[in-house]
Amino acid sequence: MPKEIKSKKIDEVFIVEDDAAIDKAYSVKFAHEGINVKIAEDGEEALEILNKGYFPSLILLDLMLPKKSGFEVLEEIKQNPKLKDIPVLILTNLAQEVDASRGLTLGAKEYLVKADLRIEDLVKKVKKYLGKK
Amino acid sequence: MDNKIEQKKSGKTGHGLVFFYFLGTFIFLFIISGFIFYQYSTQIGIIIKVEQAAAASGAIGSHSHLSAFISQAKVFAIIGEALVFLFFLLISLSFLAVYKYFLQPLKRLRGNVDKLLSSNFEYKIEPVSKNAFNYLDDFLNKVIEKFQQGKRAVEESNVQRGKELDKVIGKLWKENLDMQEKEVVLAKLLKESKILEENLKEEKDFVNAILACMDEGLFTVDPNGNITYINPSAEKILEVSSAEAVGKNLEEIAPLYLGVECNNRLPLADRPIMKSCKSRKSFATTLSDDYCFLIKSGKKIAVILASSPLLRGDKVIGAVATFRNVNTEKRLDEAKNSFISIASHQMRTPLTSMRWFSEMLISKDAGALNKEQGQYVEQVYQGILRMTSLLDLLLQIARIEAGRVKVEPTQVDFKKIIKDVQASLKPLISKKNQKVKVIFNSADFPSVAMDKEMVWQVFQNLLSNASRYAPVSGTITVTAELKDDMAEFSVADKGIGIPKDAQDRIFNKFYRAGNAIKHVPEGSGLGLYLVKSLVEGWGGKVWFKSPKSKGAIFYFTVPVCGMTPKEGEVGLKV
Repeated sequence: MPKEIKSKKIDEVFIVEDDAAIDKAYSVKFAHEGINVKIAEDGEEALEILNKGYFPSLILLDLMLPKKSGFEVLEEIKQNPKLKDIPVLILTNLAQEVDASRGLTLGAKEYLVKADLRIEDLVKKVKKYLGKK
Repeated sequence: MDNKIEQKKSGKTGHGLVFFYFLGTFIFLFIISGFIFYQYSTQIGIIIKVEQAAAASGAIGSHSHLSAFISQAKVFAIIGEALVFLFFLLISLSFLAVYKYFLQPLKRLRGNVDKLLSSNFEYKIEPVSKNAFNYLDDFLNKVIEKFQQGKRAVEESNVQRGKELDKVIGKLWKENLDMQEKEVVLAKLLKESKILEENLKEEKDFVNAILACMDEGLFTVDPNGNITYINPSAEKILEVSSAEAVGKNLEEIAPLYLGVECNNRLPLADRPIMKSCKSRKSFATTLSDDYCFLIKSGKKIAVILASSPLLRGDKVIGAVATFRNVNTEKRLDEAKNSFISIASHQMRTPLTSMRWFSEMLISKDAGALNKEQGQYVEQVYQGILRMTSLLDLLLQIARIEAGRVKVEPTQVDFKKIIKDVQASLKPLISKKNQKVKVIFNSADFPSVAMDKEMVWQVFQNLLSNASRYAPVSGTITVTAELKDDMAEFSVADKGIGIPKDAQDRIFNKFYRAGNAIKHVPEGSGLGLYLVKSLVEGWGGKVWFKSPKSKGAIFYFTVPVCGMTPKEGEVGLKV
């Protein structure tokens, strides 16, 4: 069964975020907007899920993550031919430019600072990537 | 007088002896002549007798001859006797003459000479007779006179010489005094020079002690980059002894690298110390310049350096560099940066969830709120936004202070930036029904190569302050004026102004004037500090005027030549 899932793109946002409150905000808001989400709370878990054939439409990736950092996760995603095309938005509070440029260099579509972002604006961006209105 | 008396006395005595001597001689001569006379008389008598006998004998013929002979003999005898007598008389007289005219004066002369000698030539010879000795006396007198004249002359000359000698002695004495003074001065000078030498030695020891105990490494090089001196700290840091280093080239002893990873080796000519040699300027590096030495053991030591040219007169004889191992500071800096990064992340994360949940409540994602609930949530939301912006400001300042902000100059159109800032502040400005008047003194005001974000921050802070402190329906005036090589901007409001007691602290970090706190309770006191840091950072000036506390005009300048790009870890925008 996993093999079938592997090849099938799921209209779902994969959220990699260790902060429970933010996870809750994401899931509540996105559910309210009709967007399905799957959440991983650390880097290793995220990669494990992805390597099991999970193929989301969009990944929202935090950087400061337990076990494996967001950069490592991103690096592995981009090195994996099967995963490399999934758009990744970095959503972090690490607002330093070095981090941003590193993230963008590694292949993230956007580098967003959560604290400066209205959740409505995030929803709009996500919908754009999902091709929803 | 004594001499004369003595002369007379001795003369008398001499006379007596000579007299008796001559008397004796005369008597003797008389007796002798008498005897001779007698002899002649006897002979004559014999002759007479013979004559008588002849006469008697009758030898007339022969008698006449004999008689003639006898007559002749008588005559001869008488003449002979007379001649003998005369002879002796003459001898006596000659003796007398010898005595009187020769011996006596000679004796007197001797006496006179003795007197002369014993009287140290202070004696005048009285001529007694007028004979040859008188001439001698005269001669002696003349000699004495000459001698005395000579003596007087000598005395006079001696007096003169004495005077001259006195003068000379005086002069010599003076010279001696001068000499003594000079000796004193010389001694003083010697003493001073000794003191100076000691001072110099002390100074040298002092300098050496400083150089030896200073924590910073120090070395000097000649214009070719050969090491001429290295202090103990430098020996320790560079792991090289002075004996090994002095005379060797800097490149051999301490190669210098540049960059975060310390992997770009700087050629000798590009090293700050050699640049100081060449340009006669001083250079100093900072922690963020990332200089490091490759030392003997192969390790790289992060350093900050300062270099200055060494001049003797007008000639550059080399350069000196001081440096410090900043590995610890580097680690601390990294720790600080990492703290800023973590703090920003850790503080933002809860703010994010608070913000998002507030927004979801406001947008009724969790159902409708009543009016009061809505107001409360709005208050919470505004608080979260303020806290987020305060955090951003703190992080900006921390980064500026750490010198970690990169500068990316692009051509900045000031009119556009002011317009953008105005737009971003529209909610605030419109709410207070304020007007913003922008006056550029020149239509073709130049665009300047500036870091756009920095310029934006300065206008944003000044305009938001003006709006916050200006009265409702007030006017905020922004002016721009070109003044030589500087563009001068001002932002004026007719607001609460800056009280005099607050004016010298208005740019201090976290400072807010009392009237500002009363008027607008929320505020960080960081905005003007940030403005000052940015403006001074690009080489401009910032100041203000607040006439009689009626409103405030803030001025700042921008160099028309623009900003120099600078590598850095972060942009100003967080």
